Amino acid sequence: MSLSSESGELLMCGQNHKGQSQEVITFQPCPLPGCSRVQQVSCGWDFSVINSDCDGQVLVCSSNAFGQLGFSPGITHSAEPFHPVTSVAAGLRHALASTASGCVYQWGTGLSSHAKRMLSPHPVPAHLSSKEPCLVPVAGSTHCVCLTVKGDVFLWGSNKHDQRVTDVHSGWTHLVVKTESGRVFTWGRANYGQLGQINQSTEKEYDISTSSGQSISRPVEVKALFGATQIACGSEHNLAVVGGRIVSWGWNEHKMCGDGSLCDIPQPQPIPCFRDITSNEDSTS
Amino acid sequence: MTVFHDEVEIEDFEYDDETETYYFPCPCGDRFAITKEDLENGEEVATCPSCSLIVKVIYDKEQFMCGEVIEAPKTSENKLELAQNLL
Repeated sequence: MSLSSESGELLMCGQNHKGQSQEVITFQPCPLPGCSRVQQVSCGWDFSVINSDCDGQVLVCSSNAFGQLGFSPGITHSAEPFHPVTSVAAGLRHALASTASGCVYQWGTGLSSHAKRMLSPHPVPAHLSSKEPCLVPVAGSTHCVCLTVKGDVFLWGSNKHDQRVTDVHSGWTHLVVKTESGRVFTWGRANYGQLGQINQSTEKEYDISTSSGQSISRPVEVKALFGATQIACGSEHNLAVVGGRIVSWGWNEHKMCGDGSLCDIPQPQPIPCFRDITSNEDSTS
Repeated sequence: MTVFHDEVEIEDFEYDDETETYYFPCPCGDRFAITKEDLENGEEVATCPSCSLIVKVIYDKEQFMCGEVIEAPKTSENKLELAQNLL
């Protein structure tokens, strides 16, 4: 796990058998070579991507088994000039970076065999199977191209209702987005209640072979989340701050929804032990 | 009736030489696991030691039963990689 503080310091904790961090259970400061401040950090399954403030420099560390660090052995840096990186994100086994010029780069092979199976006989696009940063062809300013942690691609186009997206959050197989008017939409896998939508059955069976059944392929609004000030997605569950209260929904087998039970929560519900907890706009993670 | 959380190709698992086990991340934070021996016996269910989720392993059973080892990224190749000037 990684955190970046307000002062730009990097703190990490967790396992270190792949060099992710010191093997400790409390957050420890992690000094970086050269650069003194961290703008943003994002963690994949077993690697981290760090966006520093040194001319948009990106640092990566830990496992490179799936090319998720973005370079091949023997290559330590790219010879091509790139615009400064503004944002980074890590998936399970892939990573992305956006630049000041509005370009998106992706690297990491992730679940390329899954992609081959789903896209066959069409070839897997270069940006979904590259071990080095590869330009992602984003189609137009009104389209939102999202990659889940597992590498599924969701494309949300057709902005006919003028809903400009301001926030995008991704679980492993579902997405939550917020528009500038405060409306919240979810789509993707639904069988653990992770979409928080009404009229979702509690049937856990998920038709993997066709990706149908308990999954929603188009964004559907969740009115209970209107005006959410903070949203966070776990692998198959979510937290949000709505009207000063923390709500949770989704998979709850390990009590991660915080209601004290082990039952999946199909629609956003306030966490009982927190009352009127307001969001901290200055916190970063 | 068995309810699988997902179906995962054997190529997407990471193989550990020491334990002779194939691993794949579980949403709970632990890993689904299935041993090479299980695969050679035709098993296709990888389980997570920390939760109820299970995944179906997609692989060529004939290839495993004849003793061939499927190439998958090995966890023993992990190393600390710290790179600068990536972009």
